[in-house]
Amino acid sequence: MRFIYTKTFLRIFTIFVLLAFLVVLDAKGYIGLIKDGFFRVYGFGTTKLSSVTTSIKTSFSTLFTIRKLVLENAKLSQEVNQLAFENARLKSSQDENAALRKALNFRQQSTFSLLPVETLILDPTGFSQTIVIDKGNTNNIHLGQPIVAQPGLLVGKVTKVYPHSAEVTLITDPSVVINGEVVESAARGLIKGEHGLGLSLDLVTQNELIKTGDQVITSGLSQDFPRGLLIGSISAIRSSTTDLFQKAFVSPAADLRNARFLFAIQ
Amino acid sequence: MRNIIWLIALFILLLIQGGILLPLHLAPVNLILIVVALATILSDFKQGLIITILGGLLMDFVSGSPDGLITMSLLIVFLILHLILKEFLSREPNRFILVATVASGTILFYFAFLVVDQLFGIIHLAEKSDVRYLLSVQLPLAVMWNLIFSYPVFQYYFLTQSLASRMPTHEEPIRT
Repeated sequence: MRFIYTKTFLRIFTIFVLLAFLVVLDAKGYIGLIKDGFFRVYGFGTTKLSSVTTSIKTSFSTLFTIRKLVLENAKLSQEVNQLAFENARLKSSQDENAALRKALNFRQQSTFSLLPVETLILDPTGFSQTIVIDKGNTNNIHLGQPIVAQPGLLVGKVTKVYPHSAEVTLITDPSVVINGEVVESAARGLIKGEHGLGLSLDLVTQNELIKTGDQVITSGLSQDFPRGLLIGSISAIRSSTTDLFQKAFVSPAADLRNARFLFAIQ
Repeated sequence: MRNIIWLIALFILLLIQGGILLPLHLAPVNLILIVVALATILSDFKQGLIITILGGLLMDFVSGSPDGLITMSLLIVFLILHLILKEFLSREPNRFILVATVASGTILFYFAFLVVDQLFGIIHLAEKSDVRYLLSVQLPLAVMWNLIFSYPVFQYYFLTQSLASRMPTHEEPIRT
């Protein structure tokens, strides 16, 4: 008991009180400017280092995968041909759709107004799935704003805003819940992050048909995310017919851990 | 001046963690936690406390969790380890003690973080973390990687300490 009367105890107690005060200051957003400066310096350093690391990693992995390249090239060429055909078909459908909408006097589907942003920092601690972007309050970035990778692949949403930077929580973080819709069957469910391991699609009723490879988009139900942003594709079904709801694993469409140039939907 | 050397050294470690280890998908490794664990054995209380606070604040700034939580968790780890190693165990450090300190420091850090996170979560100042995921997936990986990286960090620690010891301090000379 005598320890609590010592100078060391008083010092440690003061540090804890100051740290608790720091938590409150951060929650209220009073240390935004300090963090902005730190993000710039640290972001600059990690960007340079990670580009060097990635290029070394790529050259090493190329050496190991050189045998597979011929096969992969043939496969990709085939895919390109198929996609070119599909693209042409879709373009013609789009033209037809536009003409029909005009004829029926429908409102043209609004395109998103995008603000380009750059990733400064990826959270290296692993406690949360967050990134820091280089635009903040001064660039009209606000809380809850969706962040996408071109051309509409959902990456996350803004959860903290500072004057010149903002924190984005990735869709793989379990705190982000999205109303999703399966494109092929129009089945609706909730998408939740699985700590960077992927996403889970849950609460899909048993009468809906979902299968591996189906694409999942935002349904626009919750108003958090506009409708039509691509979340990913179903990689595996993980429920049986006896379950109340269907569950599935979803692979994110965007490369979340290497996302550098992104867009904020205004 | 010594504290500035340590601040720079810790910042370089954080840069290595974010710029080299993260692109190599070695996310669970925590170099600053290793330094804090080593500081409990190899530094005096005051120096260890400063290293813990500086490292914790740097990590807090780059993490998505509210600022202060990681520093508090590291401080708890440092105080517990210091109590066990200096007050109860009080033996000359050897390899086994170093390895055990890093491993137990990592485990303690996760538990301390979860406790602090849940406490601040009650008053809505922190997002409550997924306990099951952190303890079943993240923690074993973190222990493994921290043990692997403890030797290079140990060398780095000595390099920094020898550099810092050459720097002048502002302490008053003892008058005889």
